Amino acid sequence: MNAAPNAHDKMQELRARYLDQIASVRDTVKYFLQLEALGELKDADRAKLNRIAHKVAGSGGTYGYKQLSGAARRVEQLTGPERPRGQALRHALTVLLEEMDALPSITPEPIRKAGMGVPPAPLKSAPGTQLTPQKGPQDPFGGIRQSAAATAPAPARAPEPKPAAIPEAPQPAAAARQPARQAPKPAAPAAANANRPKILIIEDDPIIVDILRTLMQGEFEIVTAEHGRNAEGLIAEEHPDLLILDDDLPGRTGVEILEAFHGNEDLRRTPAIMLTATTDPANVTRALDAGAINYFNKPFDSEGFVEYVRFVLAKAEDTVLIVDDDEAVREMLVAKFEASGLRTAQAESGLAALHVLREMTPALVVLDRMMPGLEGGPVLNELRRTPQSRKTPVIMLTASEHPGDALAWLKRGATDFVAKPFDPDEVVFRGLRAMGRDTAA
Amino acid sequence: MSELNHVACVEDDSDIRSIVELALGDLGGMNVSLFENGAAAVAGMEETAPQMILLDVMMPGMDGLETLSRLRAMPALSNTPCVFMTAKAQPSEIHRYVEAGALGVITKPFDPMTLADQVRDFWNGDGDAR
Repeated sequence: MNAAPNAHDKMQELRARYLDQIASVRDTVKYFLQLEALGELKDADRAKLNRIAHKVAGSGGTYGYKQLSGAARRVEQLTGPERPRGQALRHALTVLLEEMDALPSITPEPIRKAGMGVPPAPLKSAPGTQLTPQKGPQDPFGGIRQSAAATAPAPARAPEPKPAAIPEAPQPAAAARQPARQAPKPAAPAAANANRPKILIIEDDPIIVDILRTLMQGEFEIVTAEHGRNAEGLIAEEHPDLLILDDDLPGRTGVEILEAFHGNEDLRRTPAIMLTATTDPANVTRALDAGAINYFNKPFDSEGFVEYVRFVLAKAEDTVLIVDDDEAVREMLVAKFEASGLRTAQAESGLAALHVLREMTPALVVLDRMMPGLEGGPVLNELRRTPQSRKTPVIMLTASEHPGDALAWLKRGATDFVAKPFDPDEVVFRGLRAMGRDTAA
Repeated sequence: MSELNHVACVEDDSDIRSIVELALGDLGGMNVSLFENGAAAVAGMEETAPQMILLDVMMPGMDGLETLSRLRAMPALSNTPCVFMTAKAQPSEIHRYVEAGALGVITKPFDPMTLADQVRDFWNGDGDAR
């Protein structure tokens, strides 16, 4: 590791150039954000956005901007070949914009370079200021300006009003106000809720609570609290699959609650959506930093909001995590499970599985017992130790011939097991059965 | 196993190329041959005779996989270990790359401070790394 000083200077220079490039990407993001129908992007536009996001996702961290990479990755994921989710994409773009605005202006003197095929926007005045392209939202990479007249006034990049996650719809509360007068908490039939995702709503406005309850209680189990003073206790007790959190709460704000979760993996793993009238961009950033997966402003499009909730919960609900070090085994099981209409996630080692499990709680885990490094056993222990996944069905794949082993695995918490070599259809059958799904198909 | 001191890198982003040069050359003490796209690599890599190839996957024109298959057709490069660099490191993707003859994948964004170590790990682990 010699020549470090030289490398350091060089890196600074490259970083400065990168920030220049990002300024033009920022224009692009802003351009898309002002489009109304993000869910109906033309394919060419979607592909362009996807390509740019891919590029930023793959490069930000190299320059030391990991969060930028993460935000761009989300945009990339949402602009794949499937129809983009307008609302989720809007949010992802908003987050990406926030990340770009948070970049330091470290360039002593800007070095011009046409990056990513775009003339860079004039950028940054003094060190310490934020990226401030002076250009309006003109088409930054050519060819897409027709799809929606770019009529938005060129923003002077004052603290812009935070684009609400759902800007379209006016508050539909009037329509939903009738049910709001019902009994505040219709007793939930406990048994019927067994397999439905559980949502904890911490919200002090009974009208909002009732709107959400009315829209969601058929699909989800709803638990509510008027304040978050004991949010930790509530989560530990209820194990919700999702937390919907107001910010302006008595006692602690929603963001403070999320921040208090820091360091507690179980709490942090519960996905949290902010739903609040607080529109201060700084607060949005703070909430997302604290781990909120999305931030919705009130007034909100309640139907769209519920659609997003479905989207978030469906991810894990339909996902099978396949953990096996043998690529061929994974591929085979992936194909079979996907043919059954389920999503799949894969992990090629126990450690990789733990990594995935930190991000999500799948609906089923297929777990190989024998893997190099961390084996299936410790992964099973971890699954069972974690409240969110305590009840997640786990199918063990074992190669063992000892009759006692099966019982030992079941005692350790495995739901079922299949001995290798196995028939993949049997794994899928046992998996679906363990999930309580229809096995006929 | 001989020491790794010459790596070729094919990457379309010129700044990323510079960072690779920085990371492997300045920080890692290796010689680095840089190519800006698949065609340039096909035209010029064979005579530089690198010990190892780093290949970007998403490139305009010839992508990483195609570039690799063209390079593999050249006698001097038919067995040169290759590692892909990609931001899409899904296991199924990695599987494709390994099937195509790569040792494995370096995930983008890579960390310039540790890239040389990552590359050397692949070099030392040779065939079984992925």
